[in-house]
Amino acid sequence: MVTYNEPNIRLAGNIVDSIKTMADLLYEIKAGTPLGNTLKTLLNLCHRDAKVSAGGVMTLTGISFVALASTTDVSEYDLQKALDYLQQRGIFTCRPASWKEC
Amino acid sequence: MDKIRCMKELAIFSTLDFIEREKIGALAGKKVYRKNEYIFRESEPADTIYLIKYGRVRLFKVSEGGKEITLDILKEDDILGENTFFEDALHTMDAQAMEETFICSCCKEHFGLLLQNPQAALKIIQLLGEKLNNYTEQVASIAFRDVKGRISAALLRLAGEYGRTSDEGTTIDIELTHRDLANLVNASRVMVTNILICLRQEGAISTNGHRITLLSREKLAVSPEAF
Repeated sequence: MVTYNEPNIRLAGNIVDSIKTMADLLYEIKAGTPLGNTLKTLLNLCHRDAKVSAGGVMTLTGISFVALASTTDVSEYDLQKALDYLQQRGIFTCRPASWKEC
Repeated sequence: MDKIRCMKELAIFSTLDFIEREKIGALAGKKVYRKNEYIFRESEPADTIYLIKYGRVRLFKVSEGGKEITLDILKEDDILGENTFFEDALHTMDAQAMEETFICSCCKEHFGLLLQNPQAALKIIQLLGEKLNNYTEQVASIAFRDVKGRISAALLRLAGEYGRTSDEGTTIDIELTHRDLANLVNASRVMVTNILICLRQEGAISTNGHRITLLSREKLAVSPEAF
């Protein structure tokens, strides 16, 4: 009987989890869903404007929630759902500057 | 059939000794899939891991609008069905043979046994890592590159995987239709055709039927920004 807490099995499981996330995101981007468009916009904003810390964490500041929705061409409702998903998967974290900003 | 070798002869198990390879061979299921036959469908229970001996498999999802979104094209020695690692998991995409494809399979418990062998585990983890890198690169490619850049990047990647070098250049040694390429890079078939004509005129590639030869890697310039 296999014990699934062995280190190599846990490592493989973690990679499989990441594969699943990236495959899902690839689908969302290719299908042009609100989540895919949000991720694409955020990646490009990071590529252009983000400050990169010594640990490799990219930080974007001063983005209005409304402007982000407009740039991404999604509704504010869809943008919130997309940001919630990306935060839940640990890809982006958002810190609101005010109630209307994420 | 000469092409059919046993699972124990797959490259990922080449570092194992004779007894271990025999053990792996005994655990494996084997099946030849015909062109367009499904290996598994989205939402089916994921209880088997598959390794390709020869042939090609397309992984795709169907969008709400009914469009097939290609996520990857797998080849010999690639792994699929890795969702089986999770308890009570379902497949999250479809897997379909693009040509006659021979596949070895083993159930979750047997795959766990393979992972207990350090050398086999290392090979499997490397394979999974490559798969993760491929998806990550595709996400970055679509996010950051225009269609020409995506096609160039896809051609360079395919040449790395399927390339056969000659005096002329590197030929991608698989039948690749414009539609296949369009599915891979998320562009229309017409756009792919136009860009391949453009790349041919620039002297970056030559084409012969469905075979593409890379004449100049330097000329396959990658457009960095899509936004």
